[in-house]
Amino acid sequence: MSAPALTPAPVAWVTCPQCATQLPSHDPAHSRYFGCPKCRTFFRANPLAPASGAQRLDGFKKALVPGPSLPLGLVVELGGYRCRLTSYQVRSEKNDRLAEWREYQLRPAEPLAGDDPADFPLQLAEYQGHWLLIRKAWQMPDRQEPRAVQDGSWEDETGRNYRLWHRYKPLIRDAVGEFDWNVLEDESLLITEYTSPPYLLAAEQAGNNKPAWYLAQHLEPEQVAQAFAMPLSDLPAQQDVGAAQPNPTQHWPELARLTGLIALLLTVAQLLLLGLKPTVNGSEEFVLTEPDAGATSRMLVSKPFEMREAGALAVTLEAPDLTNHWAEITASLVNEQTGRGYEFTRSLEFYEGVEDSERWTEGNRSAEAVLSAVPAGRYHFNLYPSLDKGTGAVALALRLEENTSLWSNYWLVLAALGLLPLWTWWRHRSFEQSRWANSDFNPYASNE
Amino acid sequence: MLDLLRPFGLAIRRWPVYAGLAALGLGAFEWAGLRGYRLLGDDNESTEAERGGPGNSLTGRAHGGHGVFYHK
Repeated sequence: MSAPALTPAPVAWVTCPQCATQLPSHDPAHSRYFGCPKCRTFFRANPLAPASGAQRLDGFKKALVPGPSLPLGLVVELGGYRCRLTSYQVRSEKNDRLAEWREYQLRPAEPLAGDDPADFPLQLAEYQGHWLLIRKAWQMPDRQEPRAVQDGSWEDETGRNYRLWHRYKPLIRDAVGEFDWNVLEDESLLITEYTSPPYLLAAEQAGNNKPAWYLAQHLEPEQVAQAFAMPLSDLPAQQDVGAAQPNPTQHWPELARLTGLIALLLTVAQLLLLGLKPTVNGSEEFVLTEPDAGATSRMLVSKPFEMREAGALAVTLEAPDLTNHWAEITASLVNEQTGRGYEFTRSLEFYEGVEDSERWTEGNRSAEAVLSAVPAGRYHFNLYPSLDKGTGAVALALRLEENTSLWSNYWLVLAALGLLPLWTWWRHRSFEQSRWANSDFNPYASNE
Repeated sequence: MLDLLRPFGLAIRRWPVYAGLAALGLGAFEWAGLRGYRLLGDDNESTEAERGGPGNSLTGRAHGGHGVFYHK
């Protein structure tokens, strides 16, 4: 986009029938309707035949704040065309007069013989600081097709899915500059909009006539400011989310697909590990007794066992007869070849009773521990039990699972790799919820 | 087959850092699984490192922790 050209002298003038202000016409061959910036009169005139006079059509009450943020008459490069900003309108909806937006008409910079380029009319629309560049649509839904637009969405031939965004009748609140159509007649149109960021497709239908379709593309304020060579701060500040504003996480579907693949690979890897490192079970039983008075705790020694390959070892200690007492067991795994030791302590306690005719239990008769990456070798357990006074003799089962399945690794990696997708999904959804909060066809409405 | 993989190629191009981290995560998962290494840490309370060989362990000398003061 190059810097805008200085406004050249208009090629014709028309006179406002209300206040006699002279209005410039840069495209006298096409312009027939004019909005007076001084008295807000909207009138019909032919700049090529000024003697034929002007006909007042309507008058707007007053200039609306904030007014045009782009200077009329300026020549800019926009949408691939060198064009001139010739007019400005303020529009709202018949059913919602609070929401106002501004539309700027762009005409070819130099008057052209014959018809306009196919994209024209070209317009800029601004609502809450969000800009759309609107041109004639090349593709449009076939309303005769049963699938098209009936369910509120339409898919074009490139696979882009347009969802029903808005349906309204416009109200013209202000019009300034030169127009090649009577903008007041637009108040009889029914406008239906479909969004597929960064695009928005609009159908303008008068009565039962075939609708005229327009394709709008989101423009960042920086693009508009650059095209008009004006500071960004002179443009309206952005509020909320625009109808066709691209979602910053627009590539979420690709991330979701990638996450699905990763979850699948992780599951396959876990199944592979289960196959490659099958669990080997072993168990042994002991009898725990209280030490004699003055004696220290008695140590129990398990039968030796062989870890054929390095792996995780899951140990379960269970005292099935333990009732209303506790037992604390320190288990020490000893590598008989290297002397390396592993140690853990577990408390078993189980209490039960009846209170107010209701039976209660508390505690657990079994406890588990996992020793990680135990090297291959010959091992045995030394067990150092401590018993509650009065426990008597209780049986203790020691159960071993060599190469125990480390499902915690699976869930940990899955959770870690799921953080970014979850966060991205949340951002994506929040953005879309904010966008659709401005629509009467909000798909999130039932979920809120 | 290529048509099936194409969307994933596009996804990797869109999210290269995540795809790289995921590959590392999968590699770490497989490595830990093969070694029996629990990523969350294990229940071993012993602070001793491997020391000495079988000869040393057979001496029965206590050198810290229950695990080493008695060897069969």
